[in-house]
Amino acid sequence: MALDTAVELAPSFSYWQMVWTRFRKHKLAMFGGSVIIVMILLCFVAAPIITATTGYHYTSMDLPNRYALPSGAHWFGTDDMGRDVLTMIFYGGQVSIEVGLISALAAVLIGALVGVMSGYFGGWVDEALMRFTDVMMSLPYLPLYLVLAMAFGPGFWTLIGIFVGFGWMGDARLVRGVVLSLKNMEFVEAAKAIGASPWRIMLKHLLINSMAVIIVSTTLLIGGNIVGEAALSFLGLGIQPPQPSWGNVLQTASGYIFAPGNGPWLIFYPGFFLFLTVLSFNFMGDGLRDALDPRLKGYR
Amino acid sequence: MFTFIIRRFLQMIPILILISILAFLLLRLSGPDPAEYMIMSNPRIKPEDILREKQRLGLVDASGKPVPLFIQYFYWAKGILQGEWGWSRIWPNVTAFQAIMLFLPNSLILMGLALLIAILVAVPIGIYSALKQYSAFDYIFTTGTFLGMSLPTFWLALMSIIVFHLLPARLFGAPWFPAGDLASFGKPYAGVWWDRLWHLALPVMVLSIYSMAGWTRYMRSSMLEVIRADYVRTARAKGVPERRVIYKHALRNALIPMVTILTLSIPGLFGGALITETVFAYPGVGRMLYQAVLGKDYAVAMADILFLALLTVLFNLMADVLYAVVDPRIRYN
Amino acid sequence: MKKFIVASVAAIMLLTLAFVPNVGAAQLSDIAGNPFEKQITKLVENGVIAGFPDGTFKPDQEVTRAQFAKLVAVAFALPTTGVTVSTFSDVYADHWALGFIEAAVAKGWIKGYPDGTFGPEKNITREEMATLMVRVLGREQEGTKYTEAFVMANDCAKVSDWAFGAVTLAYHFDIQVLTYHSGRMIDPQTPATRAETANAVYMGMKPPAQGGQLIVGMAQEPSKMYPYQNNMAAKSQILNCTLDGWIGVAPEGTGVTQKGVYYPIFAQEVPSVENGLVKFNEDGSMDMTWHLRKTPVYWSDGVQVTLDDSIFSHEVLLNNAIPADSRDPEDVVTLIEKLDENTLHVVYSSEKSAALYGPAFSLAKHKYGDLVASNPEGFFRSDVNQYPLGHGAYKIESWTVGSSMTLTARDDYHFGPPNLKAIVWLFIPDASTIYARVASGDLDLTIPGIGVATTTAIDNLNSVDGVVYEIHPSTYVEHMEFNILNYDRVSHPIFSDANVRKALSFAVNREQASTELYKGYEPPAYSMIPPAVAVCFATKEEIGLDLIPTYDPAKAAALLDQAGWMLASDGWRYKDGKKLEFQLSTTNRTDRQQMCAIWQKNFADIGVQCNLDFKPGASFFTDTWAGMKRGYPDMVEFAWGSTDPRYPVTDVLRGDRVAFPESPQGQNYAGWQNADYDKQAQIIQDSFDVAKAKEAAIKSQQILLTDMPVIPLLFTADAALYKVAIQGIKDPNWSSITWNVGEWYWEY
Repeated sequence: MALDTAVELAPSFSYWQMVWTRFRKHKLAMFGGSVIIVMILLCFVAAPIITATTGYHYTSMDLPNRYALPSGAHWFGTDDMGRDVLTMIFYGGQVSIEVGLISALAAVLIGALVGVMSGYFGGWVDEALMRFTDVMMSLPYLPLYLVLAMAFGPGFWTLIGIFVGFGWMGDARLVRGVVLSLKNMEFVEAAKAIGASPWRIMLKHLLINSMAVIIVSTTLLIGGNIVGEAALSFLGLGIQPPQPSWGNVLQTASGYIFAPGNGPWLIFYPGFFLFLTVLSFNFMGDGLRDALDPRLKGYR
Repeated sequence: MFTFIIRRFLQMIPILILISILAFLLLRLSGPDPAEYMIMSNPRIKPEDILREKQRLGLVDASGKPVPLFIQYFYWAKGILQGEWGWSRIWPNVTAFQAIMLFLPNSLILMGLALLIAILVAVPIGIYSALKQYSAFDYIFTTGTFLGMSLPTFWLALMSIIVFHLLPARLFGAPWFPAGDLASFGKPYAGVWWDRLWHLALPVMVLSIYSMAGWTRYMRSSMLEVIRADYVRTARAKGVPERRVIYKHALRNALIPMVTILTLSIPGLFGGALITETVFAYPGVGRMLYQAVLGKDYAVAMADILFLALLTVLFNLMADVLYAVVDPRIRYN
Repeated sequence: MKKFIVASVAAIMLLTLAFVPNVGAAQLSDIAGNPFEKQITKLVENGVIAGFPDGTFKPDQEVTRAQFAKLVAVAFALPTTGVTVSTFSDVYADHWALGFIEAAVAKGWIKGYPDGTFGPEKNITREEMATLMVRVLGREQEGTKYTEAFVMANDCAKVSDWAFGAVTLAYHFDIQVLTYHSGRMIDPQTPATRAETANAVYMGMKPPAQGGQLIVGMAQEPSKMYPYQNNMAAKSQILNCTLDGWIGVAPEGTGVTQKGVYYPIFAQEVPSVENGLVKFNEDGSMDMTWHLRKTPVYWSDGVQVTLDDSIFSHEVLLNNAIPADSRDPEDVVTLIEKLDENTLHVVYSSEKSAALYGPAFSLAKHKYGDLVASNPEGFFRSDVNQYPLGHGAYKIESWTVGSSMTLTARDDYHFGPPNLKAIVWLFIPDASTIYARVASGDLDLTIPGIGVATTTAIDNLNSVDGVVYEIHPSTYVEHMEFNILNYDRVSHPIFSDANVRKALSFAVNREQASTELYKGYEPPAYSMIPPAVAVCFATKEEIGLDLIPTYDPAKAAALLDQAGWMLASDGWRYKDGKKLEFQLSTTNRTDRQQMCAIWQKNFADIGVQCNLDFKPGASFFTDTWAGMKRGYPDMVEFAWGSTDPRYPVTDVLRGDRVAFPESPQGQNYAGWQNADYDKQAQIIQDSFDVAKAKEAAIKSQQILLTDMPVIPLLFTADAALYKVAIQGIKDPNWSSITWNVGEWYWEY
């Protein structure tokens, strides 16, 4: 235990090297990581290239060619407007991944700040912040999502607001836990002794040392928020067409189960990409947890 | 213990008030008010009818001046406390409370079954995985839980309709499972228990899979933690037979955190049920809320949110209490 | 041996006879499309009736009484041989039909004239045929209680006294040996045609089955069943089963040529200026006289319906304490009085064509009178919302809110017991799920407009065996509306110029949308009055070809140039440095998105940038008014429709229907005001004179197309899907498919 703590207290080049070594051994995590990289490349790099070379875009319709089955020209066939399904999925992935990333990063940032402050200052600050966190955690999420989405009008930033607003509490608690365990350590005392400002201590020492926890929960949160985006968009309260997202593409597709030709498949493809992405983030989160925090190895 | 419960109970009140204010404001700000809705749906309405309706709803006072929002809130809250939950706009002749009572039993059946199945599957698999850590079984099921946790509920629901309803219907002329509804109609067996179960099969499966995956993982890690604990080692060292160690000492203690996890996840289940019920057109409180929000049925939407909030808070409380009851190590003062 | 040969020859002849008509049936050249094609074919196949040697059937040829006697005798396999004595003085022993006539006489089916003659060579009239067939069915006794022809037809008075019972029964749902002639006429003294006799005999051999139930899928659930508030399509579908009224409207013809015909239900006759029941007074007021039929009609609890119920319903509708969607035209009634037990006199302060449907008649005084008098609020919250007492063919048995409603047939129904004993309505919010249930055979019928989406029906046309895909015109017109003058009375910077609006109307390629998306089922629209509103529908020529917007990008571009919007080098149009760019908002229905994609491209072709904005239907329609205050900045696309073959949706664009802060009601989202148009809309709305209404309709559309506050896009279509085994469905273009639900029956 003492040894682990020492390692954690002094993250060094060798620590990250160790992390990478451990991460590499985690086959599923490696799989997840690669899928995520490929997915990001497909959505953000390949999509514009496809548009540039073939002219396929989510606004380019070819109505007579609706519900076409897969072919050389359209690998996954075409949808209800004769658009290339693969192109729709890549462009849809852009929004889905953006929402997931931005909202998770922002939520983690807020959560980490709240957690660090709560843990470091203690006393009434801690009491107030943690009470508020408890309240936020005891809210029924999905119903509130619905109402919020209706109130603020469905859209990209509403989604991000919702996911940030309801996503930071987990991190706040985790980071607070780490900070509580660290704040009486010698290096913090030492920093205090040399007159470092509380903010400097919090940001430079405590937050850095919470990195392991933060990285893992961010990864898992991204996956969770991507599903969240899809669910809300599926209910018609997220990203609105014609801007595609995996959720709203699925929503429209659910109306074509009975369309001829490619109809039923339109549900399969975007859902599968969504599933694969979320799965990859979960795998990677798991691998990162094992790699960053070897104490937990074998527990999960 | 008693004071602890009382304290937690009192803490619920500000949370509920906060939620009610939030819900009230959001719904009121999210579009036309109920009287305006009436105008839209009925363009030939007379101005005096509009005024009368607004007065009836407490939106304007007797002189026709608009009532401030916070006073409207107090009227509304007073009504809730007095049991006047308001009339539904989209369901006939029922109050918001009656509407919830109308749909709640269906939801409870769906969620209860999903919960039961999830537990029956998750607990044994979790335990076995933990006992056979690093075995092929453990590996397969641990990976499987990841798959289960990553499956978006609505996609799973749609795919299950395609696989178990649509495809068999096309290939064999009859679907294996119905794609929705409470029960059959117009068949001699309509509404009998197995007909109900048959209709519940797909929704229950979809709803249980997500919980199942998460709980398997919790159960496994909880069990792993326990079998490494000192008292288990001690028991083993004393020569207690392995079976007895597992079932008498380890299992009991491993199930303790599961009780909390289960309790805490029930409100979340309502969220999952919302999507499942919507896709399967199953008349439960989740779909009711969705319809109420889309149809601007304020009374029902607010009542439903309050109800779910109350439920969430209650289950949180229950989790704490249960934890205190089942785990002798925890002391509250 | 000789006997054997004779028998063989006879057998061969019989076989040939049995076989030949079979060939004939397939070859009959003149029955295709005949309303009785199926019945004729079946009878020919069964050897009951045969075609002519030249391969025709001559369905419209008249039938003599002797011929009909033969038809009946053959159809019901009466013993016809060995007859030598005639009952009638004018049927001689050597008459070819003697055997047939005497066989029917023996059965008691033929009684002849009082003077002892039969008149074998006279044509058989429809009432004579009805009498005979009712006797064949053994139901003559039931008819004796009728002192009038109690039929939902316009010429009941013409029926002969002796045929009252038979004609009434002939139209009963479980008999249906007579059908209505054009104009909803019985035409009792008109000779029956070959086709009609074939139908009558067929129906006599195989009367409509009493029994069975119907499972109906519908996307909407009524919010209440109280007849005067929260009216919506779903509710009127069900109310058509549970409520009757003074008069009804029957569809006649199919497709774009379908017309609506008024017919009396509780009324003795449909009031009109010609029959003197509608009078215009010098002070501009209008008198109407309503006769309730002599034959008593009953509420479903067995209490007789009286004029007091109508007066009571009228009073409830005017009661300010009880909300109502519309008190029009009851609120201009200046006098309503009972002249006798069967005559009601109503005076309206001005001409009101809506009064044609008669004063309100949907609430039972004996049931609700005391409650309304003592506690109107209590009445408004009573079970009148769920189980209103009705006087229609069905009553509401149970309603499981959120999932289904069951209606059961009233076997004591005054027009005879309905055939289907139960109708189960399933409320399935999602249109694609409804189609799934049709495909899996769970649903027997889906309701047009609120059932299977038209595009789904078109895409899957006839792909489910045993299901009829009926796609017919609807009263809805898909169109764009400009926000010309917004809620705060600010004129639109681009669209306040009529030239721009017209330019855009020439830019949209309706033909492409019509053919590529709807396979022509939804034709391009050129006015806001679709063919389904038969009375007021105006053809292109009537409106004036020069006004009709067609796809003409060059003309659109020229109009924009004229308006000062010039094409810049980047391909878009500008005026005073401002780009011609706007937002088109609509619902996220798939075909709307598809359509808008076409428009967007059309606009881009002439240098106009159109940004699309799709909202879920529910929030789109709330935000249209609200969002609020006619909230969409530039333009919206949706469809307007009516539920009557008489009234096009012209009144919504009236100047007094623009919502402004001080008068928030009204659905003139365009904020367009034109006094001349208002005048025409008023005439369409109120004029009793159909010709005058049509003339005003043409004028109103000319004004509309000149100023173009809305761009007509498509005349929409609705899809009704039902199992082919359900008989009797005649779906009107404008309203409830259930209008004649009592006549429906299962025939496999």
